[in-house]
Amino acid sequence: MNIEKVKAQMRKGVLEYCILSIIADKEVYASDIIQKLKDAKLIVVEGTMYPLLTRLKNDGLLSYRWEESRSGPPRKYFQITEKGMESLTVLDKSWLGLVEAVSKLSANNNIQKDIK
Amino acid sequence: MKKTFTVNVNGIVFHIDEDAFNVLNDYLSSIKKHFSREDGRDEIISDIEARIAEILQGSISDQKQVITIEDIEKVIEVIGLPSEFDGDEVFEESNSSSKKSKRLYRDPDNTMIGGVCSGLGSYFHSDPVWFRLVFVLAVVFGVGTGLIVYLILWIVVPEAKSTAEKLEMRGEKVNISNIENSIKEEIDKLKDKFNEFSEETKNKFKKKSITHNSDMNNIVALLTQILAIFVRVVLIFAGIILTIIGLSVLFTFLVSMFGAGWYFFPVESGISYFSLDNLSELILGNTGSNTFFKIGLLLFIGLPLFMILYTGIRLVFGFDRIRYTGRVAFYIWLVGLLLTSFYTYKVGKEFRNRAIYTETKTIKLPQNSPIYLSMNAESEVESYRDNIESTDFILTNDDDNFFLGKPHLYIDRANKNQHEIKFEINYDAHGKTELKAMERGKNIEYEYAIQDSLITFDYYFSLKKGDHWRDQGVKIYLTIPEGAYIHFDEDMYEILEGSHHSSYYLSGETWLMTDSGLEKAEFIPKVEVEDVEVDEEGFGLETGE
Repeated sequence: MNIEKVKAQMRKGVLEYCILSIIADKEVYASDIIQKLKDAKLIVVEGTMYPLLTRLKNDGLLSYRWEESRSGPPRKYFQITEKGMESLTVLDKSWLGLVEAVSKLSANNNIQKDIK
Repeated sequence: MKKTFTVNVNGIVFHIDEDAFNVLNDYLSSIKKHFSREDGRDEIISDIEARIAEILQGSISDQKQVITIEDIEKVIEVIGLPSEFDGDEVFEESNSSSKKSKRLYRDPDNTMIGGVCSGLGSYFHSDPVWFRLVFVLAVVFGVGTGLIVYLILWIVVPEAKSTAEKLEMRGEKVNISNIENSIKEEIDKLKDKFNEFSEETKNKFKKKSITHNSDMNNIVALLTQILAIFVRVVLIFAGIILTIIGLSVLFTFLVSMFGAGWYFFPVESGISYFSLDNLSELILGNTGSNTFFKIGLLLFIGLPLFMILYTGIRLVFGFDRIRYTGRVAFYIWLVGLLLTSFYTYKVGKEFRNRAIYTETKTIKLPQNSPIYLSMNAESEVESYRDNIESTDFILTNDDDNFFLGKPHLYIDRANKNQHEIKFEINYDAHGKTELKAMERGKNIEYEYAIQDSLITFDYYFSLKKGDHWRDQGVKIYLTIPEGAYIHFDEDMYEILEGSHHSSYYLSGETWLMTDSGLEKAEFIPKVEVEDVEVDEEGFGLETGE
């Protein structure tokens, strides 16, 4: 088992969910999303984000609008769509379920280890 | 001091160092490659470009106006290499740097002459020594072919100047997946073009159903993809074939032009030892015009061959076209054409008139004995024999017989009122005037001997030294009355022209002239005492049959 790979896959699995969560709060600029994810150590390089954002947008979960910027060309501001909200609710539930399931299992593990 | 470029990233203008530009360019193309299969890749790439512009904007100020390689490195650190995009950052790192495409460059750090061989070494990941060896061998044994190939490569292959180019030069090994990658890239370019085109048509026919249109797009894009791969493969193959053809024909041409041409061209008919050098001297004479003609020929024939080779190499390695090459080559070729046609016309005039110089002799019909025809063994140049058997003439480098031609012997039936053997020899040649042609015919050197009933022929006729070739020929007509016997020596087929029977069949046998031509003699007349010597030496075995 390649630990690094498993870790990366775990992060990858929740990345879309996290993006939806960030955008659900308020309309954000792409760099803000990236910064938040970076701070949370969920991503390392920004290049990961762009295809994800585009994919979510193409699936109709996100939309964006252009906003003029003082310092340069117009920026993309992302907001969540109704469909995105629905998906987020579903994901919220399944995430909670997952956390519960995993913590239950790992708790068992720990107990077993402790016994040994 | 450094050279800078002006680039436009997402609508913002930047001044950027040359090496930084190269790195950025490679980086962007590696990103494009990475997303080449992704839906909405144009959007992803423009998002990334926007981000790059943003980061770069942060790194310039009034004091620092030019983007340097450090700034680009910062960009790459923030956005990441394509291999890191999937979220799995570390463990694929080994592949990350090799995602770059590979090109053939000349290596300026490791040169002997122009860095071609060291560049080839880098390209194929092998020691340049081998390529140097191949070139040296090709120069020595290929009469300079290697030199020409080297020069072409020197001209067409760019030098790896920047670090990015050097990295590209050393790129990854050539293998199937890399070829696949480069093909993928090619297709993307095509697709981009196609998308632009379809975008335009979409705008034009906006009112029509769009969903239908996108289906069509997919099909057409797929077809374009297949076509592009096909075209690329065909082009590479064509390049390889052109290179091989160009190389071998140019090689043969140069050998015949400058080499001795001794062993290279045993052609079935016509010229056996073919040396263009000798041939042009024979036709034009060894004067200045000979040199001009050769230069003309070199340009007229050699240049197109050179261009074939050039095109082949260009297709295989995918170089950009060098400007004006075609046009310059065409003008030089025209000069060659003019020179060649001028001398062709000049020589052509020399062939305007034909004349035949004739010598006739009569030979008394021997009693109770055939006429014996034989070849003069001493006149034969042994080393040519294997090669000349089916050829009419040879050019040699020997000083005394520069041109050797084969005579032709014809046997005819005489008129009823002719009772002797008629021996007629025709020397024919061309010239500007009939008189000159006649003169030239007289100058042909051919030896034969008539001794009672024995006629001996030389194998070849030759031209006097300094005489030019004007289609000279020697024809011998032997007219024999009916009822006469004739014996052909075993080697007579060399010059004998059979009409009803092949010359091989005729040779070594005794024949009777009948009213329908030569027929095999059933009865062989007794040989007179004085001819016994000849008989025993030459034909003793035959008479026993």
